[in-house]
Amino acid sequence: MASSRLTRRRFLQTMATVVGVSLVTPVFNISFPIRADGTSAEGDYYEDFTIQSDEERLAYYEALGYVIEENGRKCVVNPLLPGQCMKYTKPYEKDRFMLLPPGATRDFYARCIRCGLCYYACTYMGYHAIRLLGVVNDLRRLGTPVVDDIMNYPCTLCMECTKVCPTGALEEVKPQEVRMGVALIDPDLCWAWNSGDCKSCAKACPFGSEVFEFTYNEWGVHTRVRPEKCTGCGLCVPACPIVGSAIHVLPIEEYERRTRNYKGLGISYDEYLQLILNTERSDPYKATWRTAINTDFIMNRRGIIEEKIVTELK
Amino acid sequence: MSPKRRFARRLWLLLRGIPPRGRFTLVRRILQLTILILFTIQLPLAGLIIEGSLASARILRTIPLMDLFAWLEQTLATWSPSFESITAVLVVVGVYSVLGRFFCGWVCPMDIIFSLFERKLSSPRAARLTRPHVSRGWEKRIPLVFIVVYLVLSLILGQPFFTTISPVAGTTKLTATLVGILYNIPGATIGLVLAWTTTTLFAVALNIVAEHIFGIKRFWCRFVCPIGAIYGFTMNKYSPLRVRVVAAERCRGCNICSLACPVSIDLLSYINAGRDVRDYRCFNCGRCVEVCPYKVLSLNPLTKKTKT
Repeated sequence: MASSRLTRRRFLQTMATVVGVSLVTPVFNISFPIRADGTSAEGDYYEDFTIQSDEERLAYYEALGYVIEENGRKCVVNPLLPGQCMKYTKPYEKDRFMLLPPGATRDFYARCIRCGLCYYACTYMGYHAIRLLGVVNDLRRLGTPVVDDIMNYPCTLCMECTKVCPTGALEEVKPQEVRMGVALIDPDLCWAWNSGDCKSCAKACPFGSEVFEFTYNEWGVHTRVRPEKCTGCGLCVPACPIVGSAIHVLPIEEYERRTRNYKGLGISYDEYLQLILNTERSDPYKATWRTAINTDFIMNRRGIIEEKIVTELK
Repeated sequence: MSPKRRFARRLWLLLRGIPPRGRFTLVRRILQLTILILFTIQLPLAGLIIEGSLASARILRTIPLMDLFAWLEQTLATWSPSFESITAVLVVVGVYSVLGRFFCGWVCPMDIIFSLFERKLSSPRAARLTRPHVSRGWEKRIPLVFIVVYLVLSLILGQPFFTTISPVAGTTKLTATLVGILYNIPGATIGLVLAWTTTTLFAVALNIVAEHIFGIKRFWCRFVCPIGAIYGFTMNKYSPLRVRVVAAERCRGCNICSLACPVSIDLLSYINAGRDVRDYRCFNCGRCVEVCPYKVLSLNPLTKKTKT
């Protein structure tokens, strides 16, 4: 009889096994969550110039009529766009993305067999740009390489990792053809867009003036990135004199999403830059107050490391 | 015995095994430990001798190696293997075409861990899959089903499935990462250490439970892990290195070879038929050869067969 074979001993053995295995299995959660990388809700990566608790500054800007209330908090208005708060990109630590190593193909996660050769190659060089993802990040990407600490270890484009990759997940390309991401300058935080002269990012860039272009007008030098040339290595990020960096490297999808509706202002990134340039030409009063507000934010809220500013005007 | 000598004795017993094991097991352990240690200290050695992990490695910075199953999975996920990966996998296929399912017994670090927890001998009265038997029917199909499931999952998910969570490559990556903490920020590696410790312990726990409660020897190696199974089902059919019956007439039928076999192959049936061991489960560990008191079996392909 089948039922008589289920003894107490067998029952206990089976239950112990079931409990034991199910204790270990949560990590083996096969329902691999598929989620898009690096996308976020609009506005997560921006902060306002709030002056709620700052009596002195509140009185100063209220006298000028540059204070509005948004969501019950008082913030400094953007002089170019009446009714909108001044928004700044958050420091790099809060605006950090997991970029793929240089030369990553489109089907990177299908090709990568998680052997770790690229990580070891990077570490032999005495460098730690690449790290492997652990289980805390995403089981689907367990053991795959990422470059996510650009502030301390920007990729130097030595291309050593692409040479060791056996599966072609990292293609051997020239350093100019690497597309890890695109750098995006926040014109409200950038020192060149507010005071006139700083080319630290362009000087740190391995391709210099190929990637960066400069607009000269009576307000000084303004720096821009050519997105089609930018490799996304991130060498410009730690070079920026602003604490937390005014130039951030974004994955390409995030870059496109962000530039389409820049800072949630309803206009694209290029339109916003054009608006600043037009204002500087036509309305010096507004432009002066824009730079004054931004300089106030940079100097007093964010901080600036003056040794990092590379200047040619001596 | 002084404490120093007692410690040395313990180390020796750990290496040699209890009950005493022969020359094959010693060489096997030395090779396994050497490979594991070389992977572990690859960062201090700057990858000069070997770099990577058991999923894919590079010897002397020139010879690429790639696990056959990892290659199959990533090929199914992308349908366009790179030239270098084909070279790398052909090197491995070439090596194991000569050596058979050599990987499981002589290279894989999981074998050391599993053998620490296994019953050293199986008796004819033991549970069904622990005692020596010829595998056929459903038992032989289970590893094939697992292989197919992994490959289909790789195809559906669009990424290597088993290779991602494999404890085989994971153990080498784990030990290398533990050394790598000296080089890197510990916070960045703690997730990796946790993940690979979990996969390794999962396999070990599964094996212990299967053997000590359900009486199935080497559950992980025989049924779950596809890496060795794929070598066993293909290369074991034609590899020159295999357990050969060289003197069937000397056999007294004591069956100690079958009892010592870690994957419970019924060697007596092979000896009685006078055939070489072509079983897909055999990973050429040489345990049966070294326990045989009458030298019936041999792992050396050059040993002459005595005529009956």
